[in-house]
Amino acid sequence: MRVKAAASTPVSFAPHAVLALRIAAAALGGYALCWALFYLLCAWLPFEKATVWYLTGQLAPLPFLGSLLWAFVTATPGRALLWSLAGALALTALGWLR
Amino acid sequence: MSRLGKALLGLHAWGGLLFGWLLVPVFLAGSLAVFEPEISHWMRPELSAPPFSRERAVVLAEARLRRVAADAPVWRVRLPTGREPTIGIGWGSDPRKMREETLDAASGQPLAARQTRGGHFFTDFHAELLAGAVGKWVVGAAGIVMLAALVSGVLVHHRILRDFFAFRPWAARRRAWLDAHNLAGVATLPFLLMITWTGVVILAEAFMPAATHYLYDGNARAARAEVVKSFVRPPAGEAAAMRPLAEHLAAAERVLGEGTVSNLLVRHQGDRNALVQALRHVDDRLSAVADHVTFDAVSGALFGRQTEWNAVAYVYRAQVGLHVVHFGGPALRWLYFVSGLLGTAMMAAGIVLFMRKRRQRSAGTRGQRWLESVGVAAVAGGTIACLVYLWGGRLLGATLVAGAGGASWEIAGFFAAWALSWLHALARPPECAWRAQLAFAGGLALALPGLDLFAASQPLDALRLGVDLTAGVLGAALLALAYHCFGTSTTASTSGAMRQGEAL
Repeated sequence: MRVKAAASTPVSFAPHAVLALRIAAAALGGYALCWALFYLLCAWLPFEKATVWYLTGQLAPLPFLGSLLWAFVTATPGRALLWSLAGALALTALGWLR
Repeated sequence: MSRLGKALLGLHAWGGLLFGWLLVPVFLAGSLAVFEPEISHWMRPELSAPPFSRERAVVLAEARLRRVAADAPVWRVRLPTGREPTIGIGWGSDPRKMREETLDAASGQPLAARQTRGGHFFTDFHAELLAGAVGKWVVGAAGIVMLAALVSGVLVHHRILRDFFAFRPWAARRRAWLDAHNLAGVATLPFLLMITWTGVVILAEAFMPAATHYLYDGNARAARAEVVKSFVRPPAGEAAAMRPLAEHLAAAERVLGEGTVSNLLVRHQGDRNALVQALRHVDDRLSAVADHVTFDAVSGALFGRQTEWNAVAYVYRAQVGLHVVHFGGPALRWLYFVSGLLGTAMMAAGIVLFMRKRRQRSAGTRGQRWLESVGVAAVAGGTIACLVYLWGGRLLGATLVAGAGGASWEIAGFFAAWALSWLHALARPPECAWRAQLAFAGGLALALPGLDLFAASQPLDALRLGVDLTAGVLGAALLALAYHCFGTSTTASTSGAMRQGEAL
């Protein structure tokens, strides 16, 4: 029984349209979040420019990965995009304060 | 399963499927790219691999350059190595656009090698799908989805350790595919996380130029120029004789380490202000940073050196080094190659698993037929395309490839084979298409050593023998896979199960 339970993977838990919207929300939200994070770091980090440039490059996967996971675990694609954009806006505002 | 678990499973299944179609060929090409110099050597059988001396090689290279490029202001010499046992020379007025020639490492004679992209084709395909910036975006996006699929796969997999030891190849088909997917995934998980993360980091600048815009007005080269020092000066306009390159090589190795210089670059050759830059190889260090030293080419005085690096840039380049595995020697390269193939197999098993599950509800529908055909083309077709590329390079070599632009024929063959594979998969039932294409790929790989022996103009050397043996082993594995996993009995039982609507 346990073997059967482990093997039963739901492969279409959501309609295709919702799936496409989640991917779009993840892509847009991730891009906005990543751009905003880089802007914040570039504005605030007290290091030489090249150091900041190389540091941001190493952090790039994080916002995208977080946004993608978030887009799938949150209830709706709209909410996923909204929170990602809100986070991006907050980071940009923090960066702009500099 | 909780709602969160289902959501993560959905991401794992759909993300893995949609991007797996691309990730399988990208991973396969990346695994082959580990042996890029060896494949390049195999694809140019006109090249020999004689014993060589680096000191003698630089003398031969300079003699040849004096003969064919005495007036060229820029010279470049690539010294021979065990993996690339030829001398490469280049000349022109711009270090980025030079005429190039390959010389025999022992005699210094120019070699009339065929024009081919060689193993570099796999590196280009792996990194950017031969599509420049657009390709980097696509591969970067696929890498991010791969990371998410790995993380979600671990989170939804409650019994990760137990299932690692539970491979049941004789169990029901879908159970066996799931076991294979889990086993390969768990065994290579650290490698897959590392290689995917570092891959996305390498491509990050291409798809996320925010820092470049903010700090350098969009000029990424300016960022690198701040870290990689450049020791240059304008020409004096006065002729002067340069010291022999062998002297500069010896002086450079006193600074950078014995036997470590890989390339020499001469600027303003023939001028009183001529400079010789020596670049260190990166084969013995994790971080892919090339220390370099520059000498006044006329007096031999030290002009500049860089052996210290910005710490953050060094860490960044360490991630590049981890990805491209120039360090660590043959053992680590083989580990990467095998891990890469296992990662490819893990994704391929996931695609097969998804299709078999979906067949229960959607067998015979047009959507299912398209999904199945794309899956076959991604896995088996991608493998066939890589093998056709190797065959094409060798078969077309003597005729078409020798001319200008000849390398494009090999690439045309690669994509034509891939397209034909997809059409075949559309026309045939899925299990038949899998079996036929995997068997065809196995046959192509098994016959590759025969082609090498039959069509080579130089005696077999260790580099070519390595490629031949690897192709033979992989060919046998592909044939076994075709007949064990997609054999006729499997087809019959699967069809029967589908008719009865049984869940396998």
